[in-house]
Amino acid sequence: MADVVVLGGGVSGHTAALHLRRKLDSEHTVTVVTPNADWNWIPSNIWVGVGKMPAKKVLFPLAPVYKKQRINFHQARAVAIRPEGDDVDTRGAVDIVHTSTGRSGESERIRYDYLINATGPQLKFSMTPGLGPDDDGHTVSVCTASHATEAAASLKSTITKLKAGQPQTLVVGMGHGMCTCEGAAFEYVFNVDHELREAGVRERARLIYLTNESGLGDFGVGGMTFSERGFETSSELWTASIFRERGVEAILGAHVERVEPGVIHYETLDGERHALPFDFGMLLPPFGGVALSAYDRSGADITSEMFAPNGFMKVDADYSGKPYDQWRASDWPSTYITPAFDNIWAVGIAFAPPHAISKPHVSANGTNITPSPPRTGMPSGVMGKTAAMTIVDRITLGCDTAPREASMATMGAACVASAGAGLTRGSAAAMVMMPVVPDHERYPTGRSLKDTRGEIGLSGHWVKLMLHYLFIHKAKARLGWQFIPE
Amino acid sequence: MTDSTTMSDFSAHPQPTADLSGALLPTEATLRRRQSIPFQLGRFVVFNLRMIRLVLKGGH
Repeated sequence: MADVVVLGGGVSGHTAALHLRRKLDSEHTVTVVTPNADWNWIPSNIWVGVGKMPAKKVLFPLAPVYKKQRINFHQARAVAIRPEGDDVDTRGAVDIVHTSTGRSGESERIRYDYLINATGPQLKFSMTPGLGPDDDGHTVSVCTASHATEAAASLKSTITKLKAGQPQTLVVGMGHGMCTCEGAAFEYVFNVDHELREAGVRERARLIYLTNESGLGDFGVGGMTFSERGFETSSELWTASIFRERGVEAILGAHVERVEPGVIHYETLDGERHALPFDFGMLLPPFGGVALSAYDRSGADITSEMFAPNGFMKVDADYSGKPYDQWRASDWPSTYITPAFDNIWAVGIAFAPPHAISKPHVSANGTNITPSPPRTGMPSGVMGKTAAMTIVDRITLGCDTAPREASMATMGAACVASAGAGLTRGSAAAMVMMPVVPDHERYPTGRSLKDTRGEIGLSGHWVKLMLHYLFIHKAKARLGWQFIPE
Repeated sequence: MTDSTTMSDFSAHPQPTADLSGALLPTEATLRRRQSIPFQLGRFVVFNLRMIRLVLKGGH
């Protein structure tokens, strides 16, 4: 009998838990620990953030799904991992603090034979003073459904002022030089553009995309090369086209240093500092790992051995810190198993990347202004399933069974970046890339030209809408969920 | 948030915006194709096939 614990109920963790329960007999337990009561289909937060979709359409409660699936559920925050157990029991353990209404603040220690860390990101608004929607912040966010609801209200207020004839400056982008999720910021700026046009006020608004990318179309993956009518073209050209077409200005290579009421202060790669007056600002925060500590059996702190300084958990990646010209696809992990404890996995955003994907840039003042690597929905789901299936193999076939692999340097991803919602008037930039992490030893351009494509159109919106319904159906474990690929 | 930024705010604070004057602009025909329901139905099918191909190639 084995006890499997999954920390995190997002795309990666929830996917892992459902596959574990599906494949393991009932004598084995599957437990999910996550601080949120609801599951959030995050890609659609963009539409919540412009008021096109209510939050209830991107959320559903986890407890009923887990009850039906016979998955134990603790609505709690994991605070410490004890891979060697403690003086009572040598089995691995996780310390959790409950967050549900009835048990808020209660501590508990739960044991595991296998542990999947799928805790996702900590939204580190505090890394930029004045950033974020909380009391001491001056910008909105779309990272959570509740943040996105507030962003929609703020946007509506801005549109009201525009309709009253007041010019407004709207800034969308990255709130720190090392943010990730540039695709989400791209989506939001063009959805805002779309809404301004639908409201008939676009001419009165100045819309600026403020990004840490050194070039448009980087998206944190170093950009892409597409084959277009017999020529190799870059995602930079392709992306610049939509910016020019829609009249969205772009400020590149920017690190936001602080946000004051109505002013964003930022540094650019040339070392110059700028002040940008604004009326509406949606700036994404940088990510870090959630606050998790680790202790050995004696209680000694081994956090720095298991986690990188940014809080993400080390796995089977190359963390030697090699320079950019020595980066290789093989630096990236494939099994997501921690080096010190082969019964612990870190998947999705929770694993520590070996380095960025995009070429690193440092400003003239020595400031690192480089997008962090994205771990988007499709790869995160695949990682979660891969970890789950390796555990299933170990339990059913034996401990020596080789782990399954899913490197971002061999898997592809589909990314659909909405550019405006509407069944007949919407559009999206629909992209596929193979692989996610470029492999220049295998492909001259880093990726397969045949399987790296991008196009803009109404069909992209239909794809994003279809994925919204498909993945919520899958996450609710409804009939046939297991046949919907990650 | 402020009530309204003004041109004087911007002239006092010039921004290093990227020069996009050379970026490609779609033709009218391209813009029509992007919103043409019959044409986009075909593109919808093609993109779904591309996603299926990615899944099958990945073996996951």
